[in-house]
Amino acid sequence: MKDFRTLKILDRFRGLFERFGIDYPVMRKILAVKLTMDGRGTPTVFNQQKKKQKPEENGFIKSLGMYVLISIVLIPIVNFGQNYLYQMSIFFGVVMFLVMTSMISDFSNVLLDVKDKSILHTKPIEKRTINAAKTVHICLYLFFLTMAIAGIPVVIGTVTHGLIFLIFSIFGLMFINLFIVVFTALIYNFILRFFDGEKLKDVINYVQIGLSIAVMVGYQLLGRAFSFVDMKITFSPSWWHFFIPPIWFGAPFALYFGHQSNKFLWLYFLLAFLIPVISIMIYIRMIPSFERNLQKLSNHSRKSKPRERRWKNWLMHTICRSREEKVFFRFADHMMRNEREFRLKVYPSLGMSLVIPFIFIFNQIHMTSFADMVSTKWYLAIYFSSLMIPTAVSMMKYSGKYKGAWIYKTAPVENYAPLFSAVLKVFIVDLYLPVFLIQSVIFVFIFGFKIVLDLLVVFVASILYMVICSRFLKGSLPFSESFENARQSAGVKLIPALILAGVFWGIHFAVTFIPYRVFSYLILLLGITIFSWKMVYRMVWGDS
Amino acid sequence: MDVKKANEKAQNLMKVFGMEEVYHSRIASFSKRMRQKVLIISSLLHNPELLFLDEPLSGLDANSVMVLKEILSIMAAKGKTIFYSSHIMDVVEKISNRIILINDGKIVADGSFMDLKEQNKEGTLEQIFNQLTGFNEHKAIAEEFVSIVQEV
Repeated sequence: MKDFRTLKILDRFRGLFERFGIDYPVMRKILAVKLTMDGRGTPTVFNQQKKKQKPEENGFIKSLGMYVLISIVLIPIVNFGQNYLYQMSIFFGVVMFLVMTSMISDFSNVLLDVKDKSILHTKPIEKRTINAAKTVHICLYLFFLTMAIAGIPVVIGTVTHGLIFLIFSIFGLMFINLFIVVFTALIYNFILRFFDGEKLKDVINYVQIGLSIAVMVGYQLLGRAFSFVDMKITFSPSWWHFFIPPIWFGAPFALYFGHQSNKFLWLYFLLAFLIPVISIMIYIRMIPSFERNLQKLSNHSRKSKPRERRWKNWLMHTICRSREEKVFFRFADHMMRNEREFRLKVYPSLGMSLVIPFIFIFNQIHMTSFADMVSTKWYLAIYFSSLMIPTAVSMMKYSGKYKGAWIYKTAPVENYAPLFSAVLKVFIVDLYLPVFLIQSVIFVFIFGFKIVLDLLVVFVASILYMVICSRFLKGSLPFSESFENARQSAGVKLIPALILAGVFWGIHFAVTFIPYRVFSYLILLLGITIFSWKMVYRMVWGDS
Repeated sequence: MDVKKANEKAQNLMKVFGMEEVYHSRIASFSKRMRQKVLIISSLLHNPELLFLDEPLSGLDANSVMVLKEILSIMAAKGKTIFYSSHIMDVVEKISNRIILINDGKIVADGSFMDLKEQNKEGTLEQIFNQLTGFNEHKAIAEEFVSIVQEV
């Protein structure tokens, strides 16, 4: 087995682990196996032969490049300006946001893993050691992640602000990571206690989705905590700031570098220190019960209820023409609603797209007034919600159960065009339409019935946009690849699609200036959409 | 087949196999035995004339094995063609009309069990297979294996 450099570095801390009663050599062996397993790629079912034999490499480490890019944005935030509380809160906010989302969607499986139980628990290894291995495994990845995001900004910050900055940052980042790991573990423990079997898995799934949305919204709140008055950033403390952790961690910087001192800052500082320490103490106390409850994940309760959805049946018969398309529609509907990993990766962005337009609108109300805002064209903010389309559509080709893709090859169909069109139709019906309808109702409530026509335009434009984005699916069948592959390829590819959404918005905005032309635009758009759907159906989906 | 009909039929078949209460559960929560039953049901759902089965008995408990063997012989009697591959020779011996033995990718025997018995003068299909493939050192191999295990 390869000797990992990470483990060699870990060897330096051997004494520390042993002081906690951990059998270090055993833990090291477990970690070595886990790291080796992570390095194994997950081949896709159909293009196995395409990939050449590559040396083992960790997909996660490769995906860190993206985060390094993000970190460049953070450099000016950390280095310029004198408002330390604001700058450092934003900095820690970004770090927490990225680490937390990554923790929830990528590393929860590690935390909740029961697979190694049958192997490790039968051996004379102490539970404490197994747990330590698990925790260190997660921490290693979080360490790499944090380094990628915060490394460059902190180094440059140290150059400008001095060594104290480095020490504060390192401690801040360490505490943040600890806090995140322990916090998620505590939440899981709480759920594990009250639910059982399949229900438990569903609840965990919903909590993960909810947490992701909460993190995103909380990140928006962080910006609201500071108000810009005359281009100067002011901060007036109030009670709800105590619930925004990045501000806690920003406080020590304001105290030391900003020479500000008031009792709120000291309180934040205290929280930044106390909360992680307390939560770790609770966590250590809870490990035995956590382990016991984890066993529930492999229980199977035998109750579930069938649900008949009349309206969906009716919808299916109206929007799908061929028999194959109907079959695939039902299949994709089941996949998108039931597959947990898929839900975890896609639903948070749905929640986000539901919230984003309103955040912008509230901002606008904040700047002017409600009456002013209503008379403007701010209802076009609904276009922000279509930003989730490229991400969601590009996720369609992945699945947690990608190995089941053999079913396409055994199905008696001539080409896969009905499959693609069915998947996209399900996407509209199951994922896009609910979000869009909720928003439309609220928007009509705010702006009045005059915008109904515009909303129809937005809906048709979104479908056209989705058809264009379906390019991202090219080359592989829906639900046929592992999410592991998604991590490596996401990101940069989506930028042109985001620009395209801006173009749609721009055209619509321009059209609203010509009186009575919105309707003509709607007809034109409808024509283009139907035409392009038919063309893509024949030319693109037909031959993949 | 219509969805509704397929659904009803599958539900009835599951009921016969004693699995009606897990009909709406995830297959991931099933045991090997239950999954095998689901696979058998799904392969028979559209009432095929021709059936390929690869080790259909694997994972099933003794009673279900009896049920499945009976199902196969009834279907065969009703004129369906069933291809069946297995390594368990005594089952093959009992339920097959025609047996093809394959060794190293080549057909070494072809015919009913009676034909094979006449040709090879051995009692059971297992023995016939051993004879045809020229394999008779099973005892020696087993002894060597155990001696390595026991380190003697």
